[in-house]
Amino acid sequence: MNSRFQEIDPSWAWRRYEPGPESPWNKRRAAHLFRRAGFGADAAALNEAISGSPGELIERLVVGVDAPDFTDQMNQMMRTLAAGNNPRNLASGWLYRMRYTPNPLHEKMTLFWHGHFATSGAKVEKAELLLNQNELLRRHAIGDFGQLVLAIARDPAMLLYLDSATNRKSHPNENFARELLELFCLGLGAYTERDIQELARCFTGWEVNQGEFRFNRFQADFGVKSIFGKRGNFTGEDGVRVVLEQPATSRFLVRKLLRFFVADGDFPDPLIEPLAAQFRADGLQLAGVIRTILGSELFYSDRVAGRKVRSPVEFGIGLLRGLDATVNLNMLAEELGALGQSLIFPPNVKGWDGGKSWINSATILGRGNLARRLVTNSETRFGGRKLPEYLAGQGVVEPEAGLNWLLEQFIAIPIPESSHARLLELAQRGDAWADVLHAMAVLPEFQLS
Amino acid sequence: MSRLLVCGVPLLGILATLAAALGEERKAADLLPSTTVIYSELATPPRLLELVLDHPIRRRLEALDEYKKAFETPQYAQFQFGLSMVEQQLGMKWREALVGLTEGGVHIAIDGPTLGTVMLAKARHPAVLEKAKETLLRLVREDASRKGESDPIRSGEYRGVQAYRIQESRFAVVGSWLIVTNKDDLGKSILDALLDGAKDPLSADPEFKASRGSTASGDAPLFWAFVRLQKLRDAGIAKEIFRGKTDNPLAELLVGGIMSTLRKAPYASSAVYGSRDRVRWTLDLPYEPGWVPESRHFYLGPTGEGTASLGLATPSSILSLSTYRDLSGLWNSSADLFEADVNATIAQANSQLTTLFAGRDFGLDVLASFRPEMQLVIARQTFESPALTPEIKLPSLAMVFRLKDPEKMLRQWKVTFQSLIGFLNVVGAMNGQPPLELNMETVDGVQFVTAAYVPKESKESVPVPINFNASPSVCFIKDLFIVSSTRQLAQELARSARGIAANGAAATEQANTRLQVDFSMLKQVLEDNRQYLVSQNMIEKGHARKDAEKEIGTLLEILNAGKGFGARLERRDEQLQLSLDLQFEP
Repeated sequence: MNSRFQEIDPSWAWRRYEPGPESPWNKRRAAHLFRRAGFGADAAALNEAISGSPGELIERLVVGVDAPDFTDQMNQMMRTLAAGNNPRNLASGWLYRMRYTPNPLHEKMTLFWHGHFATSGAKVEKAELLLNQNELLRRHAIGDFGQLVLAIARDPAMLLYLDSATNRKSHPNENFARELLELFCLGLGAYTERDIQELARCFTGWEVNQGEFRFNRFQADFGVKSIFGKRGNFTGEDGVRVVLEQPATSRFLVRKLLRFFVADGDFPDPLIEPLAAQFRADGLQLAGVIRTILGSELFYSDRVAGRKVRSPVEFGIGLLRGLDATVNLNMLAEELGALGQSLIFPPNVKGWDGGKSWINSATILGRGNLARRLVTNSETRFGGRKLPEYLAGQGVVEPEAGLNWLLEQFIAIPIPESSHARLLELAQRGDAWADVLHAMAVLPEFQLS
Repeated sequence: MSRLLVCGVPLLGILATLAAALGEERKAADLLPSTTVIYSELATPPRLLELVLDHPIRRRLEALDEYKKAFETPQYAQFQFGLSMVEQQLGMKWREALVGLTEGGVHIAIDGPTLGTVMLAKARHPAVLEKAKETLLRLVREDASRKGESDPIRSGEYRGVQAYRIQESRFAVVGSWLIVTNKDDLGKSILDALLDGAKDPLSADPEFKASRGSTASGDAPLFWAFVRLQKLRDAGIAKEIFRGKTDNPLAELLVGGIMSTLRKAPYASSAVYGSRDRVRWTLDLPYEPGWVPESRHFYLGPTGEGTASLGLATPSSILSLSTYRDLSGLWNSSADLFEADVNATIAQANSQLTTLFAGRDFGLDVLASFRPEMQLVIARQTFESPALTPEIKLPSLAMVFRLKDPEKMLRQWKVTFQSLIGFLNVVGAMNGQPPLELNMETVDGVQFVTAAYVPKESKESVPVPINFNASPSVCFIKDLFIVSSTRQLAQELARSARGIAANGAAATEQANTRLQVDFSMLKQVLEDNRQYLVSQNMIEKGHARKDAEKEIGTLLEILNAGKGFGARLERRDEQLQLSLDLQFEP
């Protein structure tokens, strides 16, 4: 349990953040919001953000902006990438999308669901199915959780991943039912083995045929099932509904959202319950609870600043977005895999553990090397220019001011004076911003969001 | 010239002046000793400069971001600075200076006994060379002076000729000739040849003369080189090239016969010809059929007269490779040609393919059923229905073989093809791939066995997979057996075969191998895949879509400059000539 949150008053925590002299709406807080609700932002986006209110920005993030051209381009690109049937190409395409998306929260939530409903290209192998699942996650990213679960339950890639391509009434496959309860909706301890067995019967007859979902009524068990004390001739859809009706579902999801947006570690039940109640009251619509989290006093307080370890994707895309950089995304996808986060290839059905598991001596070194490669690669461009020219365009010329600009842009919490002095010494060497960024990227504080 | 002789006899100066006058008439090969092992010449460097620097393709390249980026380096900036300094000193632009200094040609040679390298350059006029020499000496001295170093130039006279040494390089100027070498003895022998005339010059060497004769046809080459292969082999140079066995079957198939000739030929020559609309490279080797071992008879035939007689054509052809290769001979001689691990793989493949061909030995029966003439064709394919048009559009590929006994083999190949499609369907079904539907059809009296993918019934619009590029087909026309990745190409080639049959035999062909690549059709295939290329560019460079579209557009535009590429291996009398030919749009 994260002791830092034990004593927090829930009514204060989820109260709407109102900027004031003690906690002004400034670039630091805007950068925090962009890091958590997206993948960071460049200086122009930060300046634009602080010219309005946090509420307006959150609303824009949650509702999203209409960008039909971008969506068309991405659909076209992903189709051609999937045509080669190499799932690894999808990872590069998705990184591109994260880098350029005008709707970073939607993309961040797509990433959240990718870890939540983990499905790996190592087993599914068919790029088209994995792409379809990715699009499904994006469509429902900030929508109705119930609809998302139902769609995932029929998703061919998921069914293939959990060996449920054929589910016959004589031998119900318990894999999907088990993961639905343990990993997708309720969490360990909130169900019995009997619930799993009965729920598995609901999904009999659900098959994948020629890459598409098919209901085979001859293999469906239409008998009476008993799940969580309810009895009936439940179908698969009924089974999902019964699971979603469990109060544990909202608590489970809210807990996971808090870990994703607010801080690594666990949260005490009193802090979770108000949000879980809101989630239930909203009919498991995600937008409301996400608005509350991102607009809360707790979210902008010092208690959560730097309380999350950046995932490799947040690290890499954060650097690119923060510096308006373009880079070889095949290379980036490969490097992120070496740091422990291969998109489209999550390690197992539980997804990535996240938090401190991202960090060890090898990955810290790897992150530094990645930052250096990103900023020194001859192909990389920053706002279409080379790094020194881009930084000069941002007014980053004088060493100390430039260093502070970079720190404000990328680091969530103050760094020790000794680190600051070392970075300043580097900055004062002249034309050494790539070295400064590399040195920044290996600081412990840089790994925190 | 390290031990420069300072004789101080004024008469020698007069002799040197006289020699300079006589040297003006001589060619570089008249000055080099017959012991020269490697000789190369750029006969007219100004023409080469003009072709490279003033070619329209260069302007197109310069417009590319990639091109600009390649020159955005500090090293290049430094080089430019140095160059402008030299131009200032010379009082002219570098190109003008280079043209003046090399108008009579640049020649580089390596001498066998001394292992010395020499460069002979002939300037437009002695005065131009003299000025360049004085400028060079001044710059070197100024540079040393700036660095606080002593004079790095040593100088002296040899038979009245002033010679200089900077580190390991010795040079002298005689009339319009600049002589640069790394060996004293070689330098002296050239000066002697200039002063007295060479006693045993390279130009009089029979092999050199024969080599010159073999390439002296039509245009004068931009570049010409002569190599004494025997000397290189004796010296143990490039052992890999002259080795007997290889671990690369494809390389053996492509150049095996050339390698055998290289192992025996005493010398070789090479030339580059150029004009605004083409660049052609040739390699000439003396050739005797007896030099090629029996294991490599598959390549040029037992008497060295195997020719590429197949010449089917299709308007959508991107690449056509017609050749003489006895595949059965290659397969069955593998023990003599390849390393042990390759042989093990071939033995395993032979066993598996024998099973596929219903027990007929793959090497002794199946491949032996073909005559050595064969043709590979790669062509653009078009798609009739958008619903069956794959996202990535691949060109189709076909092989044309000539059968020894068509009556006997026709049924055998038909059955094998059907078995293969059945096998692909079983494997495909296990991987969730759509099935291939087998069909037989007769078009203009030619029977085709074809297979096409059955489209998946789907409610959603899904990308058409890459396998829909294939519609494997075979057909038989007299003794020709065409196996193609698509029905479309099989039919086009069959039409071509019928046309050739109707118009009588094709012209007699002397080449052993002919390759032709059509850039306009290649560009068309890239255009067909523009969307895919743009996506790849976005991913690989992180470009925004409009930037990616611009870059792909420029690359395709550059391809417009190219017209085609050809290659040809041909036996002419006692010569074997390999030529590569790159054609540009005028």
